[in-house]
Amino acid sequence: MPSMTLALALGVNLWIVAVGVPLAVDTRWVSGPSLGAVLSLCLLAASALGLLIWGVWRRSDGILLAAFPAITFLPVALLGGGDPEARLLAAPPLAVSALSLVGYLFAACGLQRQAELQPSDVESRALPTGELPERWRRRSRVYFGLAALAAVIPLVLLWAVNLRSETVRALGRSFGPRADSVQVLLTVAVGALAFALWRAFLVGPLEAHLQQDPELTRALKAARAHARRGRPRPGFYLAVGVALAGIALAILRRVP
Amino acid sequence: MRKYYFEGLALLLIGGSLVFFVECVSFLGKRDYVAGFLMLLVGVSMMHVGAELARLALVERE
Repeated sequence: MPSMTLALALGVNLWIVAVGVPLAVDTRWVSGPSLGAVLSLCLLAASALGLLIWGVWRRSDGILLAAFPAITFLPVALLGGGDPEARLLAAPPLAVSALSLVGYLFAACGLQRQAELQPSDVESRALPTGELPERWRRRSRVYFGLAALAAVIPLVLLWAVNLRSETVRALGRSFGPRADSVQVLLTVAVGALAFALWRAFLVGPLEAHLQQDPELTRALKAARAHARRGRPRPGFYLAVGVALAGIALAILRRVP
Repeated sequence: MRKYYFEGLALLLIGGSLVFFVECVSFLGKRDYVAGFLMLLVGVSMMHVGAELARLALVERE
């Protein structure tokens, strides 16, 4: 229960910093846009709080760690960017926002951790001591590799978008004064892609492993059955056909 | 023997598919989007074929 209260309190704190204070201090957002836009913004701000309460209640990873922070910062992202004269909302100080976000994320992770420690129907046994069998060490290597890739891929993409001089120059040439906004949009897209990759290709296999890989076991069983026939699956022939057709088309396009 | 044959072929195909992805990026850089798409298609198909052979090699190993 203390973890739930802490996550809720720090979530509300984040909402006040990122939504409540900017909306209360700067009133240009009320007078500038149309009534529909103002009402939409109010609905967005209220839905962020609703998401927080729902996420804490359901102990949902996706809501607490991704949806709530994203929706919370959406009003500032929509109305607090661009030229200083055109901004309809004052963005909160970066240091305060960042500290509030980090504090909230730690509290949300703590809440999820506590939920995992609750007694459940899943039986747990200690691993046998001594040297691990080769197949377990091989699995560990694969999982460490996946974890490393989950860290390296977003870093490389962030470098390519924000620090690679050729990309920065190309964005400047293509978008002119709006290059900064496009760069921010690409950075957000990289973040979303990294989260999707992390969820699908790191957490997914680890969860499947915890459940003793029922899907993998079924797939291996089917693969064994196919292998006994001594022939690959139909998808193999289809892929070979597509590859050959693609190469043939590419060659034909080059023939004058 | 069959296992090593499948493993070698799978490695060759998956490694070779990377060449087509590099070519795809190169064509996209030259704004030849049709050729880039074709190279992407070939790369993905080759990777699929390599994965299928790797699966067969895995079954042979077991």
